[in-house]
Order: sequence, then structure tokens, then C-alpha cells
Amino acid sequence: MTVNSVTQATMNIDRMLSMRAEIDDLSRQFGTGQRSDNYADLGPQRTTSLAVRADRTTIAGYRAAIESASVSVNIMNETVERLDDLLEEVKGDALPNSFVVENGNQTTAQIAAEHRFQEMVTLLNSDIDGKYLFSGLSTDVEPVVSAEAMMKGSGGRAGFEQVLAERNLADLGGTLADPTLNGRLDIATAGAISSLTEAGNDVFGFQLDTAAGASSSSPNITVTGPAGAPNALSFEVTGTVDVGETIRFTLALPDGSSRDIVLAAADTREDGDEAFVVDADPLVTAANITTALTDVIDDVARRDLIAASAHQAGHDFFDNNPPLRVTPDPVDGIAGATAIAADPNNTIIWYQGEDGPLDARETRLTRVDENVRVAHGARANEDAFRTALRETAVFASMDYDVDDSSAADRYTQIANRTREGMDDPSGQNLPRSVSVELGTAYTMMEATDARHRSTDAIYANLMSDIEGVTEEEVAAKLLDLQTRLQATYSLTATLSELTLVNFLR
Amino acid sequence: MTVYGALSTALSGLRVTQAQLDVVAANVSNAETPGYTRKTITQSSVYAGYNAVGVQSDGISRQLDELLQRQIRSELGASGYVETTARYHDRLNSLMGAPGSASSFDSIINNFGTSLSALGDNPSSQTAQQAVVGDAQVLIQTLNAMSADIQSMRAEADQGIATSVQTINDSLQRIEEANNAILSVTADGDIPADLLDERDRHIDVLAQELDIQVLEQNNGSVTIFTSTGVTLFSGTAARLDFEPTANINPLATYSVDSSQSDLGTVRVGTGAGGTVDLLAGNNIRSGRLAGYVEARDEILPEMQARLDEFAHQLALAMSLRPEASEAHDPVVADTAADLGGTGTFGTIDFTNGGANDGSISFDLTVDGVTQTIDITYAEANAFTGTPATVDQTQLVDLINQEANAAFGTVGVTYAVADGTAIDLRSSTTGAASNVSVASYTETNLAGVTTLGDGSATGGTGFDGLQIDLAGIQPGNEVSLNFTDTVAGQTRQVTLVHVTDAGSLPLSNEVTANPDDLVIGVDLTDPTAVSAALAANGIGITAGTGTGGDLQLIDDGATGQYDINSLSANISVTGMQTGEPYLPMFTDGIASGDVYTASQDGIPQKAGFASRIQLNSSIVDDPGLLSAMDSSTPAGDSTRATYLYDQFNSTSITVSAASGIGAVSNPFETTLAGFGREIVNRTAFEAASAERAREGQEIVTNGLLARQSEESAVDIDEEMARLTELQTIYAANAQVMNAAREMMDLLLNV
Repeated sequence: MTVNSVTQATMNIDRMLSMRAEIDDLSRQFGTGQRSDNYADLGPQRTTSLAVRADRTTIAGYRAAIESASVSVNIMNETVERLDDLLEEVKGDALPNSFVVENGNQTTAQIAAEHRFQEMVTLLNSDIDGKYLFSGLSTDVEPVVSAEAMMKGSGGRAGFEQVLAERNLADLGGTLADPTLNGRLDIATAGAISSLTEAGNDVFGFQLDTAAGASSSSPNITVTGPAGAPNALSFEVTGTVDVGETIRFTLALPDGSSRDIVLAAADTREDGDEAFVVDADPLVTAANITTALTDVIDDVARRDLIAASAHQAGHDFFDNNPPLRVTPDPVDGIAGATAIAADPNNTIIWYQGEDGPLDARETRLTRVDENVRVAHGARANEDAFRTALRETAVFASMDYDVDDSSAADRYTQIANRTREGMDDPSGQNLPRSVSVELGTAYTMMEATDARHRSTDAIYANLMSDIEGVTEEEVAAKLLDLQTRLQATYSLTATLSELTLVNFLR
Repeated sequence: MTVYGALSTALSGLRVTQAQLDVVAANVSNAETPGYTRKTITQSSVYAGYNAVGVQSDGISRQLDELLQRQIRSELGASGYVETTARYHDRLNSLMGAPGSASSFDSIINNFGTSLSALGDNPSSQTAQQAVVGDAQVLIQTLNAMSADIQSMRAEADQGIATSVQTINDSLQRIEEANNAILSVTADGDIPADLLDERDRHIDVLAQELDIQVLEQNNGSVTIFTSTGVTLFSGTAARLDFEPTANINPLATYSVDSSQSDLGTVRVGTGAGGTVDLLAGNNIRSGRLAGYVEARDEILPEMQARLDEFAHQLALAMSLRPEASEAHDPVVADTAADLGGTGTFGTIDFTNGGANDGSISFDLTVDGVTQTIDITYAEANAFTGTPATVDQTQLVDLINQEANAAFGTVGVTYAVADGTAIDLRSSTTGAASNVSVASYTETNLAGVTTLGDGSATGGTGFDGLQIDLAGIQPGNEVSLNFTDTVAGQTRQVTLVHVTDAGSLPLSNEVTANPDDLVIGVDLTDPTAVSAALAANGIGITAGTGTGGDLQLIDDGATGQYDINSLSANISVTGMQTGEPYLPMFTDGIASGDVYTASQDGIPQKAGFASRIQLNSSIVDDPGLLSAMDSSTPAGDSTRATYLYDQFNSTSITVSAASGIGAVSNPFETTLAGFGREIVNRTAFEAASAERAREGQEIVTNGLLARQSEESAVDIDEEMARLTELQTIYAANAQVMNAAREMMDLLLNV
């Protein structure tokens, strides 16, 4: 503003200039569609504008996150569903009574299981954009070693097959090639007493089940135990045992299952009969009980014990990180081993991913809203996937000699245990449970995304109400201004003529 | 009446008409001259006896409303002021960017928040990490650039002050010249209308620069004061003096105390050889000069403080590790070490002419070292300058004094009052039961007090907490909450780590919380902490707990003070501590330049927005945004989520120095919310300033328009007058002609 020079003419000029500026601003609004090019001119609505704009940026961020995460969850879900299918296929093939050995020492079902195992490993090693899906937090680490390394070992480290073989040896106290196997029980006769004594460990071989106890239906056989340290069970023959009378005890197997043994008194027995021959002399009867026990224990060791042992080896290897395996005893070797422990330097650690305290799902979180993070992580060693790998590996690993008379029974035992291991009516320990959780996560993300979309649309409207202008409104204003400015111009021109100077001649 | 009379009357008419014509000519030619007021000539009849014998001009007068003029001058000052401040507010507003543009401050904030969120979803993604680094860099560069702009605006404002002072000096000089001319003209008895116009014009220029009062003297001279009464012109022009500052940075502040001020002030000579500081005395309240001063010292520094506060909150949010307290290791005397456990400690009365002189003696064992403490409370040598009685507090002081002397320690608290008893303790060590009293004797206490050797049950011991302050940095805070049972209130104390004693005491506004008491102290020195608490009247003592922790101990459950809680925030300096906290933002380029809000020397917060940097370690290795240490799994989002929460969800309390919120009721928000509030508040201030400017413009223009109606030259009016004068002139001439013809007639008779 200049001082004191304000005449009517200059004030008119000021007014025209401000109208001119208003026209400039309106044409800017027309061009940009924005009411204002700075925050001050937005007025009190500015706080709403700032908040809404922040919310829209955030929503755009959430939606981008949802878009990328839902792709990942979809792929993951398909992988998990395939894993579940594979598990069902293995289970369906493992029929207990279909023992027909193909290529020398394995059944068709076993060969198929081996291929499925390889596919499972491949699936668990899936990645998206270099990020492994089943490694927990360690998305940069391939979660599972190759099927080959897992089974056969690698780089001097033992694989599952060796862990299994060692466990079998430690449980049986020998190999199938041995003429007699005692499952780590000492069977002996001393006078009229026939006894069974544990080898002194609580891990391997048969354990005498103290809870189930032992009994005799004969008044002339006195049962002592099972009790003591180590547990011992003895049958003292005190007189004549009648044919048909029985003695009974229960053997606990390494996988937690048990086997009842009932020996009936008989006049004669064949190999494999669960019976003992009675004699008038208690000393002879006692010796006969020992003979029967030795034979029956050998039979059970070759069928039930080895199957339970294999199953337990699966748990040792797959359920533990690092895997557990038989710790060789310095004196007796593996056959006399008494302990099981991890040996991470010499055993393949099949799961390489992260294995922390978090729930597997919580290892991958996507923020989909202010305070909502959808969990969709997974670990290859969580129950669901481990079960599939373990049961398939155990089933596929055992070899059978067609000339071995116990082979078919052993296959039945293994197949039954595999089916049981894969059987979980609730589905909680099967891949489908993970699939359900992922499905929930996906649905939640989709629902949130839909909500974001509608919120964003509402916000967009609100924003254009606050910041935007309608073309009609601006055009009307422009026209009005134009008219006024033109009128002012022509009026000013006319007025400037209206001076007395022009009329004085 | 004679023919000659008619002739001379007509002549006088011609003369006056000619003068009138001169005035009309001057009016027309000056119609557009700034400051020109319309002139008129007043005329009166010349009488000889009862007869008018002619006409005379009484002088030129100005068409001027002096009340209006005074009001205009005041409004001109206001206009100059609001125009200047509005211009700076507008420029600050434009720093915030256009709504919705990618470069607007709120978009930059929003983008940073979104990329932190994306990093939380994909902590190992290099794209996500780079996005955070990129958005963080844009954010800090914006802060740096805005700070630089603010400081260059301050430099401009400083230059504006210089220009304004120059204008004022020029105007005063011109006023002096015009005034002198006026005085000499009026001395001759004339009315110097044009000179008055000239002087008014310069006074108006002056009025735009600062608020003035103008007094007209009887002799036509004027005197000019500031509205607060400092003389600017009184016959001679005063000279204003201003020294512009060469380099203005955020640390340069104005202070009314010129020895403390980094910026120049405006001075004016008093005429008696002294000078008056116009800024310190708040003598300039309006006008452009006041606008520039306000911009330089208020508006722009407040905006800088706003950005500094944002940078401060941003850096601390990411780098502070909360530290919880632990139960303290008892330093408490056993009941056996209490004095006076069985009774009430009364007042020892010395007014008895020495009859009550007596002594207390006991062996005090602290950490296995035994010293005998002898206290004689004779009237003659009791306490210098004390009253004739000794109460519990004084006896406690005396025991502490004697025990410190005996053990060769300084400032250790051995005795404290506990209810009506006195407890003995050691605040120097952490071991329990390390204090005992033996061989207690007293003389001449009978009937006065029942101080005993404390063999019976007594004080209940002391309570307290300890806290690990390893790695504490200057500026880090320890919060202590305790209940004062006597006052019946819970109090909050914030202990700020200050290693430079010269920076003490701290202002209570170092923290934004209005309800806390801020105490600056070297927190690594328990003796200093005890002294600082005592100096603030708080009966809580500090010591060293297990593991070198700071231990704070109150006076027991039955005592006056009960400690409720103790917590601390420690600045993390390492990038890979295994914890989510990291010094993401640094004070300068080197990663060692940690920002801890240090209060040593100049507060580190001052101008931090101009120095804040993204930690160069993160620029070199964006993976640090997720990797808390070398074993952090790639998918671990703990750190990324923490950073996101700190930015988007964690509540912060904003210092009122930022101009947002009040000291007593500070603004609470999130970091992102604070960023948006900066945009909002800056825009709001700009809009308010613009409204004030528009309002002022309407007022000023209205007044100027009225003045224009009053004083401006209307060409039409002048033309009409011209026609009128022509007619009058012709008529006068006709009279002369008639007179001449009559004379001729007479002569030819």
C-alpha cells in the first residue's frame, strides 16, 4: 500500500487488480480441480483434510500389504493341501495285509511312499520371491535338507536310515540275522525259578510293565515282580501245573505301545506257540517256561518290538531338533547302549529354519489394519508337517527279506503303526489344520480389504468435498467475475471521460 | 466613494482572484502528488470606516481533518505490522507444501509411516528397507531444508530491521528539514501549507515503520515520540542505531540482556549521551519494524522450535531403551541400631543455665569399622547461632556431622529422622545389617527426653528401589514417583543426567510434563543426587546398589516419604544390541553423534532439526532396520514393528515451546500426529495472520478513502472554480474598464 496517494481512481485500480487475482485463482482451481494450493486457505476443514489424507495413505499401504500377502497365502495354502493329499495317499497305500515284495526288499507301497516323501520335501522348500514359506522367521534359509540327505545322511552326518538302524540294534540287542533276539531281556532259570530281568535301562528294548503287573492262574506258580532295579519278573514252580493254566505279563514297547504275553501250560509245544510244556518235576517245568519265554520273546522282538522301535526312531529323529539318536556305550557298543541323546555334529539336522518360542503362524505377520496383524507363517517342523514326513519316512525305510518268515508280520505291524500315526480324527496334527488356519487368514484379509476399499471411497468423497471444486461452480463464479470485471472496465472508461475538462471549451 | 476607490477595489479583486487562480493551478497540477492536500484561500473584505474598500487574501489553508490524520497514522503502523508478520506466516505456510502434493510435509510423514508398516510385513525385503531409508532421508532433508529456510528468513527479517531503521532515520531527517523551514516561514507570519504537507508526508512514512505519537507545538513545530514515550524528534532528529547480524543460525537468540544476546537490537540516543534499547524496553509495538522484530525473534524461532521438537521426539522415540527398576538391596539399619526406639524424642532444653548440659556417646559400626561418636550438647557450645533448644532435626544433623568426621567421609547420611526416633544407617554401601550401635551412654537427659540405645523395637527400616543406569547419556531421564505422606500428595520427579554443573539448575520445562519437578544432576554420582534431592526438600537419599545401580532410599514405611516407582530411559548407542531400539537418527553425519537431548551447555535440542541425519550405518546397511543382532532371523519383524509403533501409535507429549499446546496442558499425540499438527498449526497461524491483514487493510483503506474525500483534489471542482474565477476576474476587469471610461469621460469634459 502506498501512502496517501489513494484517490478514487487508484482505489478502483486496487479493486480491479483483486478481481483479476480472483480470476487467476479460479482458473487455477479450474485447471487443478483443487480449491486451494496451500493449507491455510482450506480453512477449519484443514484438520479433517490432513487426517483423511493420512488415513488414505495408510489404507493404501495396508491394501498393498494385503495384496502381496494374499498371493503368498494362496500359494502356501495350495502347497499345504497337496501335502495333506500326499499324506492321505501314503496312508491309503499302507495296507497291513498287502505284503508283496517288489524289487528285492520293498513293497510297491513303500516305493511310492519314497517318491511322495521326496515331493513333500520339495513342497516344504517352496519359496516366493526368494522367501521360504516354511522356515519360520528365517525366511532366507531353506527349511528342509534334501530327501536324499535326510534319509542317507550327508557330509559325514548320519541320516534317518542310520538313526533307525541304530535304534533297532539298541532295542533288539542284535540284528534280525541273529539266531535269537531277546529285546534286552535276560531270561534265565535258577532251580525252579524262571526269570526275566531288564538290561538295566529305561530306554531300549522290552520293559516289564509294572503297572499291568504279572499273574499266574496256577496255584503252583508263584509270581514275583515285576519289581526291583532293574525290574525283574520270576515264576517259581512249586508243584504240578495243570494243562490250561496260564502265566501272564505285559511288555512295554519303545513307542509306548504294549504287548501282553500269555503262556498256557500244555503237554507239547511247537516253535512260535505261546505255551510251555508241563512236567511233574517243577524244575523241568521251570526250565520249559524259560525255553518258551525265550522263543516267544524272540518272535515278539522280530515283529512288534522292531516295528515299535522303528516308529520311535521316527519320533527321535523328526520330533527333536537336533534329532536324538542312540548314544553308543563305550563298552558294549550300540547293541548294549543305555541312553539316547542329541549328537548335532554327527547327525543331519533335517530342519534348518527358525525354531523359536513363537507360534509357527506368528512368524509371518501382515499388518492389515491399525491394530490387526494377520498371522500366516509356518515351520516345516511343526506337528502337522512333521507327522507326514515322519510316518512316510518310517514306512519307506524298512527293508524286508522275502525268505524271512517274520517279514510279513513285521510289515503288518509297521503298516498299522504308520496308519495310526497318520490317523487323527480331529485333524489337529495334520496339514489340513494349517490349511484351515491359512484359509481363515485369507478370508480375514479379503474382508479387511473390502472394508478398506469402501472406507477409501468414502474418504475420497470427503476429500473432494473439502479440497476439490466442481467445474460448474467454478465456471459460474468465473462467468460472474468476468461480467463484473468487464462492467468495471467499461464503467471506469466511461467515468474517465466524465470530467469537466472535456466539456470546457 | 470615488472612481479611484472603485478602481482600487477592483484591483484588489484582481489580485485576490489571481492568487486564487494560482491555488487552483497548484491543486490541478498536484492532483496526483502523494501527500498533497487540497489548498484553498480564505478571503475577507477590506474596510475603510464602514465601507468595504476591497478584498484581501487571508492566506492559504489546507483541507485536512487532523483527528482523521492521527487515526490514519496509528492504522498505518498496524498495517505495516500485520503485513510484515502475515508475509512471514504465509512463507512458513508455503514451506508445508500444497495439499496432496508429494512434497507436502504431511505426505512425507505419511509415506515414512507407511514404509515402516511395509517393513514390518516384510522385514528382510531389501525393497522395504530401502523404502524406509529413502522416506526417512526425505523426511530429514525436509527438516534440514525447512530449518535452513527459516534461518534465511530470519536473516532477511534482520535485514528488514536494518532497512526499516534506515527508513526511520531518513524520515526523521526530512522531518527535521521540513520542520526548520516551517519554523522560519511561520516566524514571518505566513502559513507554509506546502511545507506542512511535506512534513506530514514524512511523518506518515515514519508511522508505517513504528508506532508514534505526534504533538503539534504552538510555534508550528512538532515533537514525535514512540507510543511508549521515547523521543524520536524534538526539534532535532534522533538517530536510531542497529547492527545487523552477519550469520544467523538456530542457536542465535535474542535476549533483552545484550550481553546474552546473539542478535542486534535497536538503540536510540537520549540526547544526554546515553542510549535507550528500544527492543529490550518493548518500546516498539507496531509498524513494520515491530513486524520484522517479531518475525526474527518470535515467529521464526517458534517455527524452528516446532521442527526441533519434532526432530527431538523422532530421534528419542527410536533410540530410548526403557529401564525398569529392581528391588533395592537393603541398606537399612537393624532395629538394634535405632536410637530412641522406645520413646519419644523431645526437645532438649538449654535454657536452664547449664543444668541440662549433657552428652550422648555410642560406638557406631559401619561395614566392620567402628568409631565412637561423642556429642556434647552443652548450652555453651551447643550450636552456633541456634536457639536455646535442640530438636530432633538438629540432633540428626549433629550426628551426621560427627560421624562424617569420625569416618572421614563427606556428605554421607548416617542418621535420619524416623518418626520420633532416629535411625542409623549407611547410604554408602549395599550390604544389609552393616550398621550397629554399641556402648550407648547418655548423661543428663532425664526428664527431658527418653532417647535410648534402641535395644527395643524401633524403626521399620527404609524402602527403596534401584535401577541400572549403565550407558546413561547426558539428557537421559530417571523418573521417580513418591508419596509425601505429610503433604498427602503423590509427586513426580524427573532427574535429568547433566554432567556440566554450569548448566544447572534446569528449567522445569525441560520436560513437557507440567506435573513433574525437573532436577538436573550427575546421575552417576549418588552423593550429588542425594544433595540435589535434599536441596529440593525431598527426604530421599541415593546410594550405590548392587552392580553399580543407582539406589534411591526413602525413610521407611512409617516415614514421610514412600517411593512408589522408579524408571529410566537410556539412549542406546549400538546398532546391534539384540533389542529393537537403535539410534536411527543422529545429530550430525558421524554415527557416533548420538542425539540424547543433552542439557550440558547449549541444549542439544536447539536447532536439532537443522542437523538431524539418518544414521550413516543404516544408510550403508539398511538391513540394520530389521537385524537386532547378527543372529536375528530374516523374518523377525520385532524391530520394524517397534519403529512403526513408535512412529504411529506411541503417545508423546509435545513441549509447549513449539507453540502447540500449553505449558500447563501439553499436547499429547503420536509422532505422525504431531507432524500433521505442525502443518495444521502453521496453516492456521498463516490463515489468522492473513485475516488480520485483510481486516487491517479494510480499516486503513476506509480511513484513507475518507481522507481522500476530505483532502484530495477534485478536478471537476477545480474546473468549476476556474470558470468561476474567470468570471470574477472578467467582472473585476470590467469594473476597471468602466472606471477608466468614467475617468476618460471626466477628463474630456
